[in-house]
Amino acid sequence: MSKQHYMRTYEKDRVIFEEGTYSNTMYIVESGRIGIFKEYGTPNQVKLAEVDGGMFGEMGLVSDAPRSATAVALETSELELVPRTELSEYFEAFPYMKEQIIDTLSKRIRQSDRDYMKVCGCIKEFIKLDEANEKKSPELIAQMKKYASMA
Amino acid sequence: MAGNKTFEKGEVICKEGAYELWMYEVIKGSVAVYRDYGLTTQEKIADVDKGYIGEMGLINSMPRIATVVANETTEVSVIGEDDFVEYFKNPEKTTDMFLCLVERLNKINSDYMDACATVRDYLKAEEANAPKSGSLVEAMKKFAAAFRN
Repeated sequence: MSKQHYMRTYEKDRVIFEEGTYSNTMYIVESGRIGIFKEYGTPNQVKLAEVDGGMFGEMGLVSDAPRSATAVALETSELELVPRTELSEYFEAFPYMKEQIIDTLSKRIRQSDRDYMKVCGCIKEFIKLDEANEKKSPELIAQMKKYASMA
Repeated sequence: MAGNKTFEKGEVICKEGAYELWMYEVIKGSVAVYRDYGLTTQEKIADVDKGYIGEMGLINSMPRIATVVANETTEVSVIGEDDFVEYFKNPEKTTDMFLCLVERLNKINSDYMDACATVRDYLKAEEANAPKSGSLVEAMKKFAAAFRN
């Protein structure tokens, strides 16, 4: 199997997958830049992230839930499309991709874990002050409001 | 480091908080994953009868986030840093490992979103000067307890 088998080119503004739709394909960015959006194309559109390396859409490999966001090419981009059913073949054909992909994933896990620990730390501080009936700092309140707004 | 190890029922395979730079694949048998094992707050998080455990120790050098105990006579493969490349030469194993990491990421992200939603409900109750439900307070305590330095 050649890389060509997995490769697709997306012109600028082309939608790669849409929020709410189902797919179990992961995308590896060979070149270009992809935007990940919530409520894409509506007045409430929010850009969650830009991806210019590594992969995205990997949740589709393990979850039967619909896509939680829309992916759009921000410039002409070359992507490798790896469906769940071809994952093993892909790793077999391109063993050198293993490290890169697992490394990217590990970094993301580390970052997500740090973010999660931060919110848990804030909650801990917050309820401690609540129980002691003490005043909370404006910084802590602002931080908690920021978390609330992400829900 | 590489090689198989057998644990008898009730034996602790790894301990929450320990720094160990290796992971395990459960080959035969089954294990239980606990938070606060042996404490009054002990909570069973999962049973695992195949797949990987402790991968965060190897991949992210993180301390063990849970204690793992054999449910029955259990055989595991121990995979250290030096074995990683060799072990994952097998594309099927790479796929399993990769999917295990994606699931881990998925879990952390969904816990994060749950924490944010709990904060939102809590602040709302506080602003309205309304009493907080027991389950809301419990949820806040659960996230506070999950905090690690």
